[in-house]
Amino acid sequence: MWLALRFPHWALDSRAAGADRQPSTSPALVVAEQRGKRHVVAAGTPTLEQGVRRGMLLADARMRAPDAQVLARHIAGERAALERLGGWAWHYSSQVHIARSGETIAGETVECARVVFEIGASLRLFGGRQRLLARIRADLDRMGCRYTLGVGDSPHAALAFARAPSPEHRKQGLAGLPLACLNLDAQTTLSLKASGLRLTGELLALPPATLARRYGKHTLDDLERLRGRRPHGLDFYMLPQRYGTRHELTGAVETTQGLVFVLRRVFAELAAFLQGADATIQTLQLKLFHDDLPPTRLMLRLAAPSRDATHLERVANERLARVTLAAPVLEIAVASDRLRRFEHDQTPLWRDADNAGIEQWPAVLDRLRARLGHDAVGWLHNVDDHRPEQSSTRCDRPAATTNAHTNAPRPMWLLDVPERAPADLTLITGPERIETGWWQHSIRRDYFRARDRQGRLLWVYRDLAHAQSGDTPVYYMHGLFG
Amino acid sequence: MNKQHPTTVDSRGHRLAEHEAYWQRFGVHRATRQAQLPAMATGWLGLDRQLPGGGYPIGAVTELLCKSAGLGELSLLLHALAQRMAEQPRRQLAFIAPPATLHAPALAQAGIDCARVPIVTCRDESEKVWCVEQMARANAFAGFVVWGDRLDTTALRRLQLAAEKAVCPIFVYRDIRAAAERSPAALRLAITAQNTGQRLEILKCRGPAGARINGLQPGAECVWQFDAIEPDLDALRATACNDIPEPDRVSHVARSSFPPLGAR
Repeated sequence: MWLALRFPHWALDSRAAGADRQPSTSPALVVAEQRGKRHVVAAGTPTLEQGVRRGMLLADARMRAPDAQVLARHIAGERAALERLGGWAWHYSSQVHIARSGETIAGETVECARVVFEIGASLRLFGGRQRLLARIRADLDRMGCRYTLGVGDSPHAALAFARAPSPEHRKQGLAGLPLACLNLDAQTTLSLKASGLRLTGELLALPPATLARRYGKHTLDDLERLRGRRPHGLDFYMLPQRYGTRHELTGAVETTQGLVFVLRRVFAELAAFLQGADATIQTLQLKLFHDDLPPTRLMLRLAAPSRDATHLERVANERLARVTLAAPVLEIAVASDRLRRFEHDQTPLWRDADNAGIEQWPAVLDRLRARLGHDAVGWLHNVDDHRPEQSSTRCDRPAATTNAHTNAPRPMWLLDVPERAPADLTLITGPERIETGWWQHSIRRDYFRARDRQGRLLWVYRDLAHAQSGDTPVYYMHGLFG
Repeated sequence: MNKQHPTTVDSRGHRLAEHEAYWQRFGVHRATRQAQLPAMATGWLGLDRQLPGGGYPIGAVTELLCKSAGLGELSLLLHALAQRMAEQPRRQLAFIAPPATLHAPALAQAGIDCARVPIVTCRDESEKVWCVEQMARANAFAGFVVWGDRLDTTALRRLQLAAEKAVCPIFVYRDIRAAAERSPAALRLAITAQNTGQRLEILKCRGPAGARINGLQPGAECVWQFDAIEPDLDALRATACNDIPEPDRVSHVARSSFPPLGAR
């Protein structure tokens, strides 16, 4: 069983992500140039109510709807939005076909943006046909697209049902559809009409050999494809390796606050795509395009792969709070790293109180890093080196293995640069000789634990490499035992 | 018009018990009976006996006011926290804004697994409090150790709320000069140095305060060791926690050397 969705006003509805309200409800027109004249390609609902139709000349449309906002057609944006929709359809099926209007597929020109996917295999998972269709309709309504839907046994049958002018036609089955739904080429349609054929059922009743001789082999092939007896020949949509989109904003955004609203929609689309693709991302790059200046880049690095829209929003907001916009933003581009497979965590049978918050820690870490900077959170690593300065380093991820390397007493606070120890020290424990590092910067020191006048316990050393044996001992303070 | 029912002794006692149970939910108790405070063992019996609940309070802020670094103030705490980390292997310990570089081998010797200790550096006090609040929401921490000299009362109250939400202890290290300020912390310890070692004084706790005990001493084979001399139990018995059945018991505690405040 196949489902076909046709989007007659896709040129306008595809701009939903960059706008602050649904473009389908705004009085706008999209025009494209064809043979020197500008024709209407898509229109918003208020404009349609005023009498504008697709294919009309811009002058006629302006006469009917003088206040409508006119936008130029942006084919790359349409294609990109259609691919995002393909990612959403991936949630319901693995055989997804998308086509933009104006493309030529297998010799026929696509007249309307469409998404066709196979749902027969997913019916059981989603609880039946009605539930699945209700879910798909709810998703599309939330995205704000205007569509017509058709279900059939083959992709072409589903498309034919989607082209049906009214629901009553769909109920009668394939035989009851008018011939215009089949999208045969113009010459064949004219000759069929001249022969007096109106409904598909009449056409299907004709003997095939006569049909081929009269109207051409391609008509017979089309009918065979319609009935599902011939392979459909449509190519399927493959998921991209990375997610990358570009959104044009309807108005220039000057404050980061305004960007927050736009990013909400962008991340909602991203989340729908990731949900459909069953994938997660770990790095996201936001590029904000200005008029004259080079684009501002923001990197969002997550501690753990995620596909949660609210989490991405929060991290992006924290990051944006640290950024001041140099100029108004006209476009946003979002690029992710490689899509990773989503690890579904199993819910345990018994609720373990200890596990309750553990999975949120990567999300908290992301927020901390977004606000304070990536290097603000770190872990100490215990390095196997005798030199005290080298035996402890700070890294941005926890150590894989931990083992204590020395039993000798070490101070809790180590000074980065050893200072001259205060006078009046009482040495408590005896010397610990550290002599190593001959390959780099050799040290030869005797370390003592000492107590100073204020009562602090210090880790002092006497440098033997630069001292003569007869001199009075000079002590340097290297750490404090906190 | 309400009709007053004649009450018998039994039903009145029952109503009293009901009232008490009702008020206990809001944290109101009889003065002669303290609430059972959840507490974390300090790892040293001498200090456990002084503190109400038998240890550092869980779900509240403990302030450690130190005269200077290098008095063994962190080792005192890590002794207790290492035990707690071992009991809760899935949880972490957070260090917020340590003033200097921590040395990993020393942490390992104290029994702390460095891989479970994220260290966060912050630029100012409001960021420190925000960090603790965010991390408390993750419910993945066994404790927090915060260094903040300039934390004011509001910040400490927010930390208290975060501790209650995360059900873990929060330890705040401040300078000894903050002892004169008011603080909403549940426990305030002052750490100073004496000629042989640490000197701990309980400035404020949920019970009678003012006890002074000898803390850590520098040891021979290990860095710090607890004072071998047990404190005098008879003299300090009144500072024990929980039930104090006779309200007229006199406590023989040394008077605090810090100036008295109006209300702590």
